[in-house]
Amino acid sequence: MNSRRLLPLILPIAIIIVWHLITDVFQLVTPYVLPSPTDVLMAASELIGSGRLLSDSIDTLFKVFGGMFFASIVAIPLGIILGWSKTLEDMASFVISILRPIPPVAWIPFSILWFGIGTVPAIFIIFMGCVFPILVYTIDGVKRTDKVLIEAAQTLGAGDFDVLSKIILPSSVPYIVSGLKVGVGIALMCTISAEMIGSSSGLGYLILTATNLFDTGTTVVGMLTIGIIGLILDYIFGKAQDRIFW
Amino acid sequence: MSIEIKNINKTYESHGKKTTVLKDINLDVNDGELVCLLGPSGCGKTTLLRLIAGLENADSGEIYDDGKLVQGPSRDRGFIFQQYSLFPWLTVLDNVMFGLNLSDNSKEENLKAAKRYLERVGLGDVADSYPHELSGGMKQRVAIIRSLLNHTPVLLMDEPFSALDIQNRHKLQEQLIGVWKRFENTIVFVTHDVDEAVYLADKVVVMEKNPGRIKEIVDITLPRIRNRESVEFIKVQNEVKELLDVWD
Repeated sequence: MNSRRLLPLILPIAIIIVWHLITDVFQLVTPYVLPSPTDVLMAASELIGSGRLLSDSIDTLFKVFGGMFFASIVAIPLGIILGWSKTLEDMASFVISILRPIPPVAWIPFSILWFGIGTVPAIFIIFMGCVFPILVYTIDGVKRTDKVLIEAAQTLGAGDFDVLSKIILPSSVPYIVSGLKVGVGIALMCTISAEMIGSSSGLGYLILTATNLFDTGTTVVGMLTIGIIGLILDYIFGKAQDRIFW
Repeated sequence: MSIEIKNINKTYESHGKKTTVLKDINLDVNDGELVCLLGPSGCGKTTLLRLIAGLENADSGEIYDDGKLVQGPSRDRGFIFQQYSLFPWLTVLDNVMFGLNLSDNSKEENLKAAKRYLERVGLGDVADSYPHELSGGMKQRVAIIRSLLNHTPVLLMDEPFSALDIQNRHKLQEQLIGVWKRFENTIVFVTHDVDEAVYLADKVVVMEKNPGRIKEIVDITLPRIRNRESVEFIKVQNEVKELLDVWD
């Protein structure tokens, strides 16, 4: 085995050893401030054994993909139109520039007023988090479409709609996938705030309730699970990017 | 189909400076004729070709294709670009069928026609390959077939072989003459290469620059297939070269 492939493992192992020394071995900090690896392992085995970690993960993933699904439905067609028409982009860019920096958490009051509590407002918060990166990447992809390909299609008899659907859309796919990759990261970051609104399940809810009970071991398990899910999704989108050869 | 170019003028503006790219261009291309636009870079030959295609608009003047005013790009005027223009996400076969699939023909018939064409020019083996797997010469051949298969009566070609090595260029020029004879298209071919123009054209339109305009039209009556080594070929080539040398 190539020893370079072990390189990423050195740092996590070192962290765990130091962490183990200052908590379990020398007990320099109380478990409330920082749980020990043993606390975390115990919490993890309990959460896995009861099936709660799996069900909360699935629940959070459902919200993440729900939010991303609606964000894609809105952002991809809109991005293609705005990237295609300079006039429409000029009209919309001011509004987009103002809405984009607003943190998704800031939409919590309105998400409650509009969608009540539970899963739907959570999906809305995630939607607000990932709609803008997908939109911006799509617009960028459309603008980077090689002009020669558009002109080639036109001289082969393609009309405006053909050019949009058969040239500009496929040519933008690499950028759209990049947007989705950025979007899924932001969606996961939104899960805690999204699940603050009356959710009764999900990894964000797990973290919040555990923290309220000073069960910091469970908190760390929830955090690590979100991290690991992010790692896996990032890997999947990376693989998808590798398969796009244009 | 015949093309009539009437009093075309075109200027570009960059950094507030106006440049006249084409001045008072008048030219007739007859049905089935192979015309080469020849001139140094900056003489507006590519711009003229793009105007015929409808990819750009003139400041004044009109272009008629078979009596109809050109107002935008159309499948009636196929265009072969200098840069590679195959759709990278489609296989060779799907690229070639692109124009056909836009019309109402049955997909099955299109597939048959496309496969037959590709095999005829020796590209049957790469039908399922993607453009990035092809050599430059193959890419341009596929692009030409893509337009021919679309039954385009007029083929506009913008230095399509300039990126190829000399053997490939000569091979594709010969193939082009074969295709042109079989399909009886009208071809307007832009080049800066005297040899290429004399080898291909019925009529060489020699252009000059600042502003871009037509200097002279040379009819070439040498029999086909032309022999580059023949005395007559070299004589015509020298005549055309002299017309170009005036600026140097």
